[in-house]
Amino acid sequence: MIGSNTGAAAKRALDLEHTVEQLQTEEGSSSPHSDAYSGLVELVERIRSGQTDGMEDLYELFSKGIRFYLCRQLGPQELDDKIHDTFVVVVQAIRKGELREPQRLMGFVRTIVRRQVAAHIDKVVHNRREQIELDSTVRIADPGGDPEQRAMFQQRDHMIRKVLNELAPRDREILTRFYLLEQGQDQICSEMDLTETQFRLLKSRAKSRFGELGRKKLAQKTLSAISMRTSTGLSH
Amino acid sequence: MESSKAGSVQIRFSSHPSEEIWEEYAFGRLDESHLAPLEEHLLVCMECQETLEGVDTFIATVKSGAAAMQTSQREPFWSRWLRPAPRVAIAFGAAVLVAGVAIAATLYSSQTFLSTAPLAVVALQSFRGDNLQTVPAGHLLELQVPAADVAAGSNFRLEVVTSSGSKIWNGKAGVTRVPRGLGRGTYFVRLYGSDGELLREYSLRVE
Repeated sequence: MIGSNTGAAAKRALDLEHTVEQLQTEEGSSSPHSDAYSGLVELVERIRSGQTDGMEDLYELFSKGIRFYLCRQLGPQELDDKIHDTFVVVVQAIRKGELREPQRLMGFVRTIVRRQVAAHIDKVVHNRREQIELDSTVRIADPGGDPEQRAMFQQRDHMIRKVLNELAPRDREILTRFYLLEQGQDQICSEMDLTETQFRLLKSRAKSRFGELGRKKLAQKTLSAISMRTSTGLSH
Repeated sequence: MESSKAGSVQIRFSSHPSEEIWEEYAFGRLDESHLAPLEEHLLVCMECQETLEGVDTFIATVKSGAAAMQTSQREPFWSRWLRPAPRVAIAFGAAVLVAGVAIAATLYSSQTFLSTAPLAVVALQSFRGDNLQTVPAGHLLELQVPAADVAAGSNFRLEVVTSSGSKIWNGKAGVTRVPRGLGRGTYFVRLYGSDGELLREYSLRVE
């Protein structure tokens, strides 16, 4: 079993390498003159020369991705402002000639977005420290949110717990190990005595069963809410 | 082949990272050399943004449910008893259980489980053939063992079996009342001595 798991880890690493290599080829990192990438060089040229349609295309190409990335890292607060700031930095940097290899535009945008995230976190930490120094009686927000929200979360947790309880013990164990305890595939395979294929099948089955039961519970809840609302409406 | 298009710019994707890879990404297990191409792809691929969003949601969902479940499992079992509502329910349940056991024990010991059913007294006779003793169906049976078959003061035991030999009642020592009515058919009553030896077998026809 240990031997097969070592083999599985090596195979997984190879899969990842293959995916990354393929992405690099497609995105032009390894082959800068690939067809898939040629439009970007021209786009950078249009931005450099100050053409507004170049700015529009840049925004159209990256805005959703930047929004997704920033929201995932920093949350939804002031998201539009952050996206705008990021685009300003990207365009200014291109115009200043900081992007020496236009075919690396995607990597360049990613670097700037990551810097923006780091700068924002740094700013928040700095502000918080200053605020605490200025006002030692600063009020700390209740992390649990308002009572209504708390009740909603509790209801949701209760439902998820019920769904987990209804799963087969082995399905529940694999989901808990992988998603809650964040154990890696190798550890789970060795402790649950599974091969890589068994692990994949078991995890996939557990996930779909979990989703299926969750949907059922949600439908039941919605139906009972509707019937309650209907009966309340009728009684008036 | 899918693509992401903006004006004259078109990026083509012949493949996408698998969900497993996005899970590794979400758990922060990838090093920078793998991270860079994935995140660059993510910036322009809506399909992978949706996949990763699904992965994030699933992880958060399982985490919240499983964490809540582990917390409730860690809670000492007696702490639930201390909560007002379950305490009342448990006390009520226990009272019902105790009362039920007491009633069942009383009924069983007096052998009047089906006290509403009429009683038929059967004087067992040891002969076979067509001359079977006949008793009415659904009656409680009081079996009378011929004195000649048991030595005075000996500790005997009775057993009722069907014509195919399936045991349907196994009496304790000295107990002669079958606490249930028998359905139509042929039965045998077996008499055992104190050492467990089969002494006699009587036949009954229930009609």
